[in-house]
Amino acid sequence: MVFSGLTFMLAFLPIVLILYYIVPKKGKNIVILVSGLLFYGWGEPLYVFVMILSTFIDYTAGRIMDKNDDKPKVRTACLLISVIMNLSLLGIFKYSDFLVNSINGWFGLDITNPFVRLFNAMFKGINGEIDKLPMPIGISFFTFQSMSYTIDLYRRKIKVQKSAVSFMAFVTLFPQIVAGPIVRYEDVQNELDDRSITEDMVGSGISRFITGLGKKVLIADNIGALWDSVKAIELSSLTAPEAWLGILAFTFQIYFDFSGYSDMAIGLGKMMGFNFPENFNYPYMSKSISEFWRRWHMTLGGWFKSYLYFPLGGSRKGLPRTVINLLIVWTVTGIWHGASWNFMIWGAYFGVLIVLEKLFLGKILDKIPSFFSWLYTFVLVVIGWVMFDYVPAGTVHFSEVFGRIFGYVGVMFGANGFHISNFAVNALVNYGVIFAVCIIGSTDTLKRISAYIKEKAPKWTLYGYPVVQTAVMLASVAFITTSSYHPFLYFNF
Amino acid sequence: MKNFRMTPNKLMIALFAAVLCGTSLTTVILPKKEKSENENRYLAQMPSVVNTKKLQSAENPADVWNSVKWQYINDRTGSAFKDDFETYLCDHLAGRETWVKASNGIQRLSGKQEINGVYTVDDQMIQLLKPFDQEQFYDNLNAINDFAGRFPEKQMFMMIAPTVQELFTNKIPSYMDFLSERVVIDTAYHALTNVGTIDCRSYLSSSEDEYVYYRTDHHWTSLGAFYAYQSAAKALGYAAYGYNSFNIETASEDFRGTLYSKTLDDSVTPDSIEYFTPANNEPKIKMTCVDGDKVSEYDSLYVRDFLNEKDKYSSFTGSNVPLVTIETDVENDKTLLIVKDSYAHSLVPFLANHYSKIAMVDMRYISTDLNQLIDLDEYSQVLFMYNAETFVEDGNLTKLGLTK
Repeated sequence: MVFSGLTFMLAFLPIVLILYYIVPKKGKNIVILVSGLLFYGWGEPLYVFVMILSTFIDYTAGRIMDKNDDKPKVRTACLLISVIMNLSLLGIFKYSDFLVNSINGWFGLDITNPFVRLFNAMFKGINGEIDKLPMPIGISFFTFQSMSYTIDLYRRKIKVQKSAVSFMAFVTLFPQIVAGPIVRYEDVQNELDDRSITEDMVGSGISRFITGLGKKVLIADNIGALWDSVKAIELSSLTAPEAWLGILAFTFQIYFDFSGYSDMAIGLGKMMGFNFPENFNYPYMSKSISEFWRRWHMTLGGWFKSYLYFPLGGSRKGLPRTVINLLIVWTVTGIWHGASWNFMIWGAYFGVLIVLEKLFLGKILDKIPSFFSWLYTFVLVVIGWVMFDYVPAGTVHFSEVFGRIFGYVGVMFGANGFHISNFAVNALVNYGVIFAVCIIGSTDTLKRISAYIKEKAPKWTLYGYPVVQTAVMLASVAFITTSSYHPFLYFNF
Repeated sequence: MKNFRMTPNKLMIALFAAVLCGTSLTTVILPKKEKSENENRYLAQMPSVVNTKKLQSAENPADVWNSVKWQYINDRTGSAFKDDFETYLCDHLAGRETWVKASNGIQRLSGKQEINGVYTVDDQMIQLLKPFDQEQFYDNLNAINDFAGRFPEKQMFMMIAPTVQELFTNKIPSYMDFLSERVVIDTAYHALTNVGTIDCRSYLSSSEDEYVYYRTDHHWTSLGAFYAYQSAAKALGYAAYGYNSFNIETASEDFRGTLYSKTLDDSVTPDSIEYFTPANNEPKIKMTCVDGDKVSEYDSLYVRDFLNEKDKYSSFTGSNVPLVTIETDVENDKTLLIVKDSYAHSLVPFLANHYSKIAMVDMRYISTDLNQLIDLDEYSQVLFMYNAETFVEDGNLTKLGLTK
């Protein structure tokens, strides 16, 4: 189920929230568990069982680890089982097709992914035959979340969760199950067993949810249409203004989409009494790539830092090891985003930039006027988005991958000239307002204005927020509904 | 509620609950509509995950298991139960068209100039001609050329009508994404052999201030069709009746057409529908509309029942069906076959004054040899009548090849 659909907003959410509020404290985790399974199973009727199984294994591993507190070998074994299981799930469902395809593509082979065969043998009757292994929604998120539990338990950072319901509730907590933020067990361990739901939390949670909904439906989906039409233009006839408009549209689309989703999750969490970690902090205001990654998808960066970078030795083992560690972490970060070479290149690109900043570039960026360090960061991030989204899925040959990326970046910098086409003018006229909204929305301007109002303006103005937010919600529902409005000139009866 | 104190948070909670529960409950309670007049389609029906027939006749647990549509539940191509359920909710959301109007209004405010491919300027909705499949376009022309080649004894004519876009070209910003209909028509006429071409643009384009196109519909008005009739008559070989030889009746003044349906923009003035009837010598008419086994007969070219419906344009010789034949008491042996789209419907009342028999066929609903519907030998003249947009898009003209 997605947040930005009527099924969620008009059916699932009202029913679940009403139930959640009327059920006594002890039963609330059961409501979370059942609603979470329904939420996930609605989109993944088959794979919901994969999730249940993996959660059960992590829970049991935790219990055994706890009971054998004095037996290091047992504890290590439990940790290994949990980590290997989670990584295998990722490996099979997310990367096996990619690996097999790449090998087939490079060596001209025609191997079938054995997991596809297995899947077909098991589920052909109820699923139909497949030739590509479908990936469970959110698998990259819930495996990382569960792993944070067993690893931290092993490190003795957290206490064991004895209640299977509470642990399942942690994993299936529907606001964050499919697209983060990556909530670590330690983030919510106290709230999981004892939380209070205050008027303030529900009110600000609703407001946060609506902000996210508006970002996704009114802004991201809207401006995304421009990127789609730019992508439809042949690279050979694309001009520089078109290329910039297109990739800027995507730059904003992905930010408003992703951060909007996080806002919705954080808001829903608040409505249910949870404080999830923040995930975005105005990343496009950053003045270095290192800073960008401290502001973009913060829970993912944090996860990799705790569970990969530090275990590798971080920056404590001398400069050469630090450089290698950084490159490893960023390449893995890249490939986490999708099973495709361009994501790996995208990650490695940021790894190299961050290494350069660590070596000498950072010092220069500190000295030059901040506008230039911002410009440097923004342009490099935008070029990163070309790698991220301009390569068709399933491209296995590096020449093709690089051909697309360099081709597009080349056009941005004038390979096909700077002619201002009708398309570009049209895009500016039609998307000018949205672009302006995006630019303002990517900075903390509104936050500052709002803080100013709260401090200086008369109290009654605070009633303006709920009214504005309600208007945003109504507009979002209107946009969602309109996407289903299909008039036919000739009869379709 | 003695101690109740309003706070911004309480207001937020109240508004949120009111909007969600209000919309949700009214959607559940309100009766469900079967079809959407404006969209011209049936609305989605409540999907089901079980095959009820199989379930009722189930005798053991295995039958019950088999009555569940597992593949429908697990589908990943966008046509699973969950997708259809979302469509169902969207289709039957309480106040659906009001939501759509609101979102279109917001789109316009944000600078979007085209809603569903319709550009609105000066109280006029215009459907823009988008880049089209060139191959299809030439296939259509070849189909007509071939047809003309197979029946050299018949006089063949082609009339491609420009739409309102052509008349308003200088009011549409040049950077907008649309093609010139003039170029399309010229190219088409150039490619036709053994087919007489009828250019109705000169009349239409010189009548810029007249009401020749509907404001909210993609068709021409009766007046527009009247001008086209002036051009056509010359080519077809007779003198057209002048404007003053017709009585003009305003049949409706609140017509909102197909372009309105696409935008739901209430700011454009509704259209009026006019019927032109000859002041003298109005011919007796026998019109037969054939849609498969459904045959309807009328003694007028105007089917007034449609004036009470949304689709008022269909009052011109009825809605689009495979075959319409019109027999008149005009005493000549002239006969005409029209291969057409709906533009012909408001033109035919003029042509009917000059023929004893006219047949209109709509290739979009025909997939057989035309001789199975009519006796082709009966018709000495053939007129292909399309508007520019349908002509470039339509993929059905090639079915003319079935007629030998």
